[in-house]
Parts: sequence; C-alpha cells; structure tokens
Amino acid sequence: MRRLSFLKKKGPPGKLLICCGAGGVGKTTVSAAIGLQAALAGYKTLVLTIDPAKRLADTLGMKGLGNVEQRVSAQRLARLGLEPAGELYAMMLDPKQTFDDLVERYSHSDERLKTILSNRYYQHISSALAGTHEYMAMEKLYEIYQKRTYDLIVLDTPPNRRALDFLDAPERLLNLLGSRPVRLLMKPYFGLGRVGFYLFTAVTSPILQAISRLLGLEMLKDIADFLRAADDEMFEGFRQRAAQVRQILRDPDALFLVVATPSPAALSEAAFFYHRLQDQKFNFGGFILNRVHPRYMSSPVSEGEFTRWVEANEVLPPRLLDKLVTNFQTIERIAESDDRQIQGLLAKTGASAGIQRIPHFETDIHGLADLKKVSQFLVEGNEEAGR
Amino acid sequence: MFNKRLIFVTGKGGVGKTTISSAMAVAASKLGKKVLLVDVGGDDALAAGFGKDTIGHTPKEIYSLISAVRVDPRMAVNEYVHTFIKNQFIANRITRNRLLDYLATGTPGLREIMTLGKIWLWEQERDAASDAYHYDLIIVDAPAAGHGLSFLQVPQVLMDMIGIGPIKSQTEAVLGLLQHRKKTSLYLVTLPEELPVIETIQIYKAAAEVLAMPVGWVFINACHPKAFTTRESLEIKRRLRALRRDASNTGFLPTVLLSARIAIGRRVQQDHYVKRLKESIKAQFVEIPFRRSDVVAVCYLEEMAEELLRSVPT
Repeated sequence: MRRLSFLKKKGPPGKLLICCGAGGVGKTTVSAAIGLQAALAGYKTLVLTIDPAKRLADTLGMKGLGNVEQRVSAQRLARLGLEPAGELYAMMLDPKQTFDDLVERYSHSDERLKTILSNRYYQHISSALAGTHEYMAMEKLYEIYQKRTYDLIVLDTPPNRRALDFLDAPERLLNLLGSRPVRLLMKPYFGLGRVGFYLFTAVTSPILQAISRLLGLEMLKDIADFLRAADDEMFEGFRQRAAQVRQILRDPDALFLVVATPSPAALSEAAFFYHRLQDQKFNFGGFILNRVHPRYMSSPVSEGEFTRWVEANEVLPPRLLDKLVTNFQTIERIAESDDRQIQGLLAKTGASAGIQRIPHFETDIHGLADLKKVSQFLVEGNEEAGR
Repeated sequence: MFNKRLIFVTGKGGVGKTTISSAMAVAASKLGKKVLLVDVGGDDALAAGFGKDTIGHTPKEIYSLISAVRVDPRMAVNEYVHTFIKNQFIANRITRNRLLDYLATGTPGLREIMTLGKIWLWEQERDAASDAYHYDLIIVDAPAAGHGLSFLQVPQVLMDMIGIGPIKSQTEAVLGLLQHRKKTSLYLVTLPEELPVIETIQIYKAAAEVLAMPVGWVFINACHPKAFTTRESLEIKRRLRALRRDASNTGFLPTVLLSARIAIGRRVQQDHYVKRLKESIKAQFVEIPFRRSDVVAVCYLEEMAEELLRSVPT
C-alpha cells in the first residue's frame, strides 16, 4: 500500500494513524503491529488503545495502568531479535479519567471541579454515555500530539460507528452536556436550594413540573447542579478544544485506516466507514484486511497440475492424502470466498488507496513475535494497488 | 431451547448474535410458534438476513409466523411521555424540545427501561378472540455485551434510584418479567477465540450475580470440524519439519501440508476455548459449524434453523 510506505523507512515525524473498523476484526492487534513496525523503522512510536486483550496488554508491557504511556522495553524486544531503531510506547486509554482531566483543565476553582466530578449526572455522561469514549480517545490523541513527543501515534478507536460521528461533530457531545435551551430553562433555579427548587418547579414551570413527575426531582436537581458548576466559560473551553481536535484530524499527516476481516458483516461495516471518511473529507489511508486465507491456486492450469500430483502421489499414505486433499479444498474454498468478498469491497468503494492483506494465522496473536509476523505484511508482500 | 416466552440474546460484538437470533426465530416458526423478533441494537442488522431493506418500528411479518420490529429508544421515550402527561400541549413541548433528549440522555437507563417496557407490552399482548398470547416467543437481539449487560441491569439500577411514580411501576413490571425463570432466559453467543470467550464468561458471572437471570444456552459459533486425528496431526508436523530440511520437494506437498497446519492449529485453539467455556459456565451448549458465505440470506438461516432443530432439544 503506497500510503503506508513510510512505515518501511523513517521519514518526517508528526504522523497520526487512526484505525477504525467493526468489533472483533483484530483492530488492536493491527494497531500494535503497525506500532512495532514503525518502531523498527526508526520512529519513536506510541500505540494508544482502549481495551486490549489481556495478553496483548501484557505483551506491550501495559500493566493495567490507565492513561500513562509505558515503554516496551528494549531488552524484551532484543530477546526476540528485534532491535528497533526507534522506540515503542503503549498506553491504555481511560476515557473517564481523560474527561475528568478535561474538566479540570477548564474549571476555574477547585470547588467547582469537586462539584462536577461528584455530580451524578456528570458521572453518568462521562462514563456510560455512548460516544464519550470515542470523543475522549480523540481528545487524548490531540493532547499527546500537541506535545510533539512522538514521531508517530497510532490510535486504536473503539469499534463503533459513533467514533466517526464525534470526529465530525464533537460539538454534538457538548450539546448534550449543556445545550443552551436547557441551560436557559434551568437558569432561574441555579441559585435555589432543594426546597426552593421544588417550590419553583411546582409554581412556575409546567414543563419542569411535568418532568419532575416523570423522572423525579432528584434527577432535575442533579442536572441543575451540574449546569451551575459547569459554566459558560467551561463550555467555551470545551468547544475551542473540540475545534482544534477536529482540525488536527483533517491534517494531511493524519491517515485513517479501515480494518476488516473478509466476512460479509465486517466488510459492509468497512464500506460504511470508508464512505463516511470520504464524506467528511478525512484522509483515507487504505483498508487492512485481517485474517485472509492464503490462496495457493489462482488458475485452472495449476488445478490440473494439482489433480495430476494427487494421482501420482507415492509419498503419502492414501487415507492421509485423502484427508489432506479434502482439507486443502475446504480452505481453498474459504480463500476463494475471501477473495471474492475483498474484490466486492473494492468494487463498492473504488478505493484508490489500496488494500493490505494480513493472512490468517493458525493461532491467537498476542506475543511480540506474533506481532512481528503480522507487521511484515504491513509493508511488503502481496501489495495491491488501487484500481 | 424454545420453551420460554422471552429470550434475550447477547454476546461480544461480531460473534453472530443477529444471525443466531434470526436462525432461532426460523427454527421456532418451524415448530409452529408465533415469533416476535426484536432489534434493539439500532443498526437494523436483522433486515438483511430476511432479504429486507429495513425493519420498521411496529411489528410486521417478515417470514411465515415471524414478525420483526426495531425499537427506537427515542420513540419509546416519546410514547411514554404522551402516555403519562395528560396535557398534550405540555407533552408536545417536552418531546419536541431538545429538552427531552437532554433529559433522556442524562437519566441513566431511561431509554433502556422504555425499550424493555415495550417488550413487556408485547409479551402481555393477547388476541381478542381466543385470549391466547399473541406471540408464543419473543427473541430480543440485544446490544453487544457490555452494553447488553448494562441494558438488562437498568431496571435494578432504576429501582434503587427512583422513589415513586409511573417509572417505578413500569420498572417493577419489567423486572418481574426479566427475573421470571419460567418465562425468561438469557442466551449467549460466542466464538471459540480468546476475547469472545473471556467476555462471555464475564457476562455469565454478571448475569448470575447482578441480574439474577439464568443463562439457558450458550452458542459457540463458527466451530470447525476436526479434520485430522492426533496421530495424523503428528505425522503432518513431522513431514513439515522434513520439508524444511529438504526444500527440493515436490509439487503440492508443501501446500497441502501447510493448509493442514492451519486446520490443526485452529482446532487446537478451538478445543482449548470450548473447554474453558464449559469449565466456567453452567449452561447448555451448542456448537454452530463454521460456514463462510458471501452473503447472509434466508436460505442460510433456514439451514441453520434445521441444524438447530436436529441438534438441540426443542
């Protein structure tokens, strides 16, 4: 894939790679393999991931500490004969902590910060609300990118279409936090205590009264408290920040990779991601097709040869040969199907950035040696130019 | 497998929840049951398997004896507001305003409880003439685990938070149904791979401890047959080693041996994870054979349904 050729040999620093795709396609593994390849090529690289499998986390030396960058030790790599010209770091993102940090950055007083962090409404939004994790991943990416500590940052995004919603419009999340109509509606109550709050809802606003009947007064009170502590200035801070994050992601140095496996569901998700990236004018770096069954026979000529070879065989016992042939044909059929589906994806997207295939391996990928095997396929091997 | 009234199907993303839910529905319909298939994931994934473009927001027949519906949590919340706020002017102002979105977002579980409330209503529905249940079986293609679990946890969380009022009574009713062991069960879908297995074991534990919902069946999806005996595997490995020493060989031998290695390795891994599942989870298991198809289609669901009916007690 031409656009990933910078992974072969160290080039100018400042690149961002953002991996998107459906759940279960091996996005985290691919991200880690890209990171390893980049470090080998000489980049000082950070892999930023959200929820790695435990063994992969162990491999990368992440000891369950959220939001701290940790270096994958050179000795560990050396033991496997890997001597990176660069350095490899990994970090497990803690979205809630990132959100708390963001609030802290824009709070004017410790008291307000405390009020917000202990508010039930805020706690719900910052930990459980769909979209928060995606947005916080971008926030962290921006924060680290800005420091210019790394030559290359690889972000493993959460497996969710919302990852892109919030890329395009971070302000959507901000609206949920403090949209103006709600703020205006609640404002008269900011100064009142609990009893006063109750009286006012009862007397002055039929809407609030109706809502308090539905949801209970505590809920409204939580929201009012939150909005009082998180003032306009804080939201303005959030908004500016969101605009900067967005700008960075549209920079030519930020490349989006779409990871998939050759199954109908994952590929249709990949096509979805591709079209969304195009619509929103992000830089599409290419598809990475993971767990593709290798194809040994591509032409009918070799099929004839195969039959002749089977017939002429004297090396293998007939029963074993039989089984080997059946198994080979099964896997070959899967490989053909993989191939057709990948061609289908190209036909649907006309993707000119290309496709990189990573073959199916027999076992789980979690050791550094496994990652090295995967990373080879990112820069060489069956490269496919776009059509 | 089909002797419940309400089945929630969940599992990690990408393990085949939607396909298994659909195939179960087809199997139940072959037993003569009237089925309602409910999509609460929001991405309209059920439609393709039945050759439809989309599933609507009211139950509609998509296959003989099977109706399907997609619950839009926002619409469910709106309906709810209109049911309980008698003053339509105020109800309209609430639902049209951004306010409702904001509040529904900020109230943990409100959308989920409204969704579950709708499922509860369908469960109660009876035919006017015969007074029999309108649906014999409701299958819910629940959100991916993590989300799926918190989805089912909601009634309990809400019970703790809300003192009185209409939501409380709705929540009580839903909770009663979820914990009704005769009527309701949780089925899990997984793959014989590391992450899905770990997550499935987590869901199982949480289901027992937190939800007090029993897990009925575990579907292990995409299982490969055992292609070689242990002795044959050893022989294949030996021959592969020999090939490495002597590369002068010979036609397609390396090819067939390498593809055998793929099958053997995969099967070893599969056995390992199936064993781990069975050691950690007390439930019934069914292995669904791997099948690579280019598209999900009705005939595929029918084949799967037939296999299910052959291999599990109905």
